[in-house]
Amino acid sequence: MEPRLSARGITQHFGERAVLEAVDLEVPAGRVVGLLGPNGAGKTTLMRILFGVLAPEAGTLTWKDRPVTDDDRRGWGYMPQERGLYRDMRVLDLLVWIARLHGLDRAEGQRRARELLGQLDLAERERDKISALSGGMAQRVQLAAAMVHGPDLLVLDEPFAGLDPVAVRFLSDVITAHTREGRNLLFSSHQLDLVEDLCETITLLHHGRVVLEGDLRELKAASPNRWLRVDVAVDPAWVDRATAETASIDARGTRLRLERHADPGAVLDDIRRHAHVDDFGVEAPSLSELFLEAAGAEAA
Amino acid sequence: MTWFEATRLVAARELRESFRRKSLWIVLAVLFIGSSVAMILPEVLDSGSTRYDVAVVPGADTAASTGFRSDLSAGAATLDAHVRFRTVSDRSLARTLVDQGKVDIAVVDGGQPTVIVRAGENDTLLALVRQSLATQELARQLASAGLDQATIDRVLTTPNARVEEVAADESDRKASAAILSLVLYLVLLLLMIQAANGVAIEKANRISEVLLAVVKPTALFFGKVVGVGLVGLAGLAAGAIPVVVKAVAGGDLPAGLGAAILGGFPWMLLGLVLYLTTAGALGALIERQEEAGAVLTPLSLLLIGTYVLAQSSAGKDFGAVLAIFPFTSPIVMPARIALGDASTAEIVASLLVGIATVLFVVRLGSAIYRRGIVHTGRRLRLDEVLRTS
Repeated sequence: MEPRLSARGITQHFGERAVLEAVDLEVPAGRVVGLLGPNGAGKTTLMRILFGVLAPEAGTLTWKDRPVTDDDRRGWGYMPQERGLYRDMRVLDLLVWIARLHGLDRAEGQRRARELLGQLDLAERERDKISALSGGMAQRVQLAAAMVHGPDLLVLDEPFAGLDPVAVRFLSDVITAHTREGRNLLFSSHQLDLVEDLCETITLLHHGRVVLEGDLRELKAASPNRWLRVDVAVDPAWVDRATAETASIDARGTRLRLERHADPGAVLDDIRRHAHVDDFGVEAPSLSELFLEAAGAEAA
Repeated sequence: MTWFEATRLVAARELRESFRRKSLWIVLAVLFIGSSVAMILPEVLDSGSTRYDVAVVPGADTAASTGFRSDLSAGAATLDAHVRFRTVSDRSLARTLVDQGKVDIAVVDGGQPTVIVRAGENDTLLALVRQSLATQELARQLASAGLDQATIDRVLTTPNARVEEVAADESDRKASAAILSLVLYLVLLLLMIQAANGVAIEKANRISEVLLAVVKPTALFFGKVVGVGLVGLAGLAAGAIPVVVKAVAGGDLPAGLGAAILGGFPWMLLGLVLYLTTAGALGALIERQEEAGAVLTPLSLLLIGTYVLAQSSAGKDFGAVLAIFPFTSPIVMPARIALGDASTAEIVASLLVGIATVLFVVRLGSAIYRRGIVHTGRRLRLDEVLRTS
């Protein structure tokens, strides 16, 4: 039986406002699944429902093809968007206590906590209070709290928010390692460009509805849109508007959206007649572009 | 993991972290030392009987002088006092000694005795001295009238009257009630703030989200209530230990205190459950810890009002009503027990009403907490929660 988390038809309103409308979500084992979308799309609400913090108005949750139970949830790990830690507690005490809430005995909890603190480069700080740690360290403790019991399913709500590039890299490695062990992982983010390289499967939410979901590589391949990237600033007058349109110009160069049957080589030749091009490429749509395609003018 | 195990773990964390705070140790130390001083001080102050220093300028009649001393000593003994006599040579020295406060009173013996005393002081001793002098004069006149010494002694022997005191321990009982009310009021006030703040902090920084994914809301809620309640019991124990030690050691406790501590214990528990459950549930309604004071205001006012009424009305008829009303009984009933005013019927009624209210408040508090702790955004109003619960 595959350890897969499935959500079907999850619906939730806050007052008159629909926060989630018949949302489906699949989190298969061994895949990095991104629950993506802009702020207010309903990602956190869906995660709170997965963990039973909120009861959905409609919809079903299954784990290993049967309805999710409290015991199942106790075997999962959750890192909320706002960092939930007791600031007055000592690092090791907090982790052991959470491990015990998950059902581990004290000795096993200590062993797991120390092992994780070692992996997260926090072994020297186990006796420190959380309040004495830097923001980045506290973030790692929060991650350790979600993983201390060795969860089958790890759910991280906006884990990259506010992190520096080193921490982003570190967290990405942790996420990848977790899925490489054949376990399940779901994380949410509104920073689509930041997590594009990490996601293998995505569910894109917009205004509480799923606007796109599936294997990211396949979604990109299936998109009819292509972009030409060149490392020079392109004057829109250089190219035939029937073949390409300038999408963006920045310090790295220009990105042109190619029309359906346009020949990228011909567009490149048009540009080279006006400027020297060292670096170029034909690209599938980025995650942001996929989102804009899927969400339509409403999201633009 | 069972609900009880989860609740125990949550309560144990609360207790452990509370005892790591210096502020708690300071409160416990203040309670313990305050109680110890209150128990020891009366013993120290009552360690010896009162001593009167009396200067005597002897007269010609040595026997009369001896009789006066003996009579004065016997009179003082009835007041748990003793007299130290100092013989001085003349009146002027006696006056100087009184004026300088080196003796309490001076008696110049003779045919017409003179008593020297600082104006307005030592009234009791002055009365004793006058009585002794009068007795000696009476004895002298009886002897002059021809009565033998045995007859005189018999005539002058004071009948051993039985003294019947009314409300002798009333001031002790009032003091016991007042102190107990104050301690209970302070403990409940501090703990309900701690409970509301604790819940508000967990909600504000989303610790509750992590925990609710693992434990049931009621386990998280009652773990907090039990943990904070145990801290409260530790505080009450710190105040009660010196009292118990003194009682076990055979010391005299202030009237009503022992009975109020033992008999009032169920109401102390009742108060902890009622106030902490209510405060914790209210703490779940708010979004930021800073709002805790505002959301607790009605409960704080109720507690303050209860304390004031307990001080003023615990011994009155209205106190009997307050001792049955569940949110006032935790402070008023122990006070009434201390005063000796609580009837059996009143105690039973108060307990029954209290237990019924605890059951109701626990259910209502759970419902409010479950709804409030997962609500994000603006602060929830109590009526909104009650409508949807």
